[in-house]
Amino acid sequence: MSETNTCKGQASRRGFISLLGKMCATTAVCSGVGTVSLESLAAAASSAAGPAAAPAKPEFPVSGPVPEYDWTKHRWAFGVDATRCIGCLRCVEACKVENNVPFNAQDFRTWVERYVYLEGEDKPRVDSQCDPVNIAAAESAQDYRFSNRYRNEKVTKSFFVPKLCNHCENPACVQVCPVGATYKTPDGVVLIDEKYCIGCRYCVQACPYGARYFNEETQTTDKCTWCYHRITKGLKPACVDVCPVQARVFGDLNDPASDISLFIRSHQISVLKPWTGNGPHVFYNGIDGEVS
Amino acid sequence: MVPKHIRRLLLILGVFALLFVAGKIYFPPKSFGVYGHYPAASVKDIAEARITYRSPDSFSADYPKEYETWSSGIHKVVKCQICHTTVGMRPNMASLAGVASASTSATLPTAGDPLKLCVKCHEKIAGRPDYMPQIEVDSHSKGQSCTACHNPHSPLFSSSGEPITASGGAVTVDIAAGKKLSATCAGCHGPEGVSAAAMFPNIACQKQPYLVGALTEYQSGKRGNPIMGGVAKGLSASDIQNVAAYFAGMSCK
Repeated sequence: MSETNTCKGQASRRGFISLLGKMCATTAVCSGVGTVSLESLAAAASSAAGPAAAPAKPEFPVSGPVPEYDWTKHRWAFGVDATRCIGCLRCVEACKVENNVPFNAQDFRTWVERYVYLEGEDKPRVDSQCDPVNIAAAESAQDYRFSNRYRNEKVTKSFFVPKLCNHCENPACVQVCPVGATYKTPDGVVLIDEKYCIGCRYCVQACPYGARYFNEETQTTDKCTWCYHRITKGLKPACVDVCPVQARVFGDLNDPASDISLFIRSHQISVLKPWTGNGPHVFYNGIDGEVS
Repeated sequence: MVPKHIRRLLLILGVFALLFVAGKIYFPPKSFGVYGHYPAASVKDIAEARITYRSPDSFSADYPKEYETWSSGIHKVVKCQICHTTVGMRPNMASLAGVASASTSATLPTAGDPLKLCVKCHEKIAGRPDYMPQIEVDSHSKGQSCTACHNPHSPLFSSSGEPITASGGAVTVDIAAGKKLSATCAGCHGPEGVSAAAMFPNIACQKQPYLVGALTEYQSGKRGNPIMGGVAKGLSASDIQNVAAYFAGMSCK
């Protein structure tokens, strides 16, 4: 240890490379080594870095990598009250502004569907803000509005269903990621590292809810984060914050007095596609069996 | 003795295995695997994203008059940036930088054309629940802008602060006429709006638009109550404005 290198990363990498050289020689001598244990190699590399590997304040404490926020103390969940939603699409717009989602008519982190039953029909007619008729009503693909397309029809039942990532307990999208760029945090949020994503779009196909989209600008997959940058600072997600009628509810399941705990206790809630086994954590009130 | 060609093959396989292991260790970020099979540092990056939507209170210092009108009106549930936002290619894109900055003094972009903006919530369309006040746009506005009559910060009033009647147009309230009408209310709610009995609510210093809304709903039967329904049916639109203004002006101490 003659070098006085304070950069821990470099020191350990240098140590590792020299170790690699030694191991290479050993392998060449034995010429019969089948597999090398990754863990033992990593352990050897870190021990080569020496006593410098014990900083006073760990960069990655158990309470999580976000300063002043303990991710072991929360379990976030989301509620949607379809009986209150007025289909104003302010949430969709706010989400795009808050999270830099491309302003077009295909890419959404959250969106709203309208289910309309006409007299004499037993299947609902479904449209969302990306429907050409609704784009025409908004007069722009960068503006969002539901058109009055059923004004001359006899409507027997109709409601709006806001949708977003369900932040599942067992997310299929995380399972299929070949590089580990998407993951579930201990507080129940499914996130993507856009620097590490290779843009293969397996996860887009794996999600049974269609909650992920491929961002052509960044060439990576993108999805709802429940506004992780807001909830870790004690704010509500942007869509919940702007909803003028409290159709969107957000909170901590660990807190029995939180908005979401109250919502779950006081409504007959359901989740979308429970049979997929993903364990969705967006809870709905006021939808029927046709919504999926 | 292992034959020479097999030994070479094993050597090549060994080199490939080492290259794979070395790559697996060298390429992932340093934080990979700290908490699980992902780069731990990315959580912090995501958590540090810029916050755009802010509490209305953070705009109260810059827009005191608008804040005052808004916070006492029926539109209190509609936060500043729902209307004052910069969307897509709208020309006021530049103002977004001001909103997003950490400085306390923020400029809010001008809201969009009311005939495009207000109708997003208030046009009568399939799917919109009944509790939401809705209009048939063409017959209601007759081509006028919404703000010709309504103050967008408190839409039950005009921009000059006069209450808006159901028949259209702003009228001045007559508190003296309201006081005369209040004799009917006094039996239960007290002559000055402070009730003596536990089962009747105080209505003194209740917000005028709220009282107007409540009486209008009792009148239409949307809010069902045999006593209040009977009382409200005898009132005209201007009576409702007047009596609501009278009680709104009383002290609740």
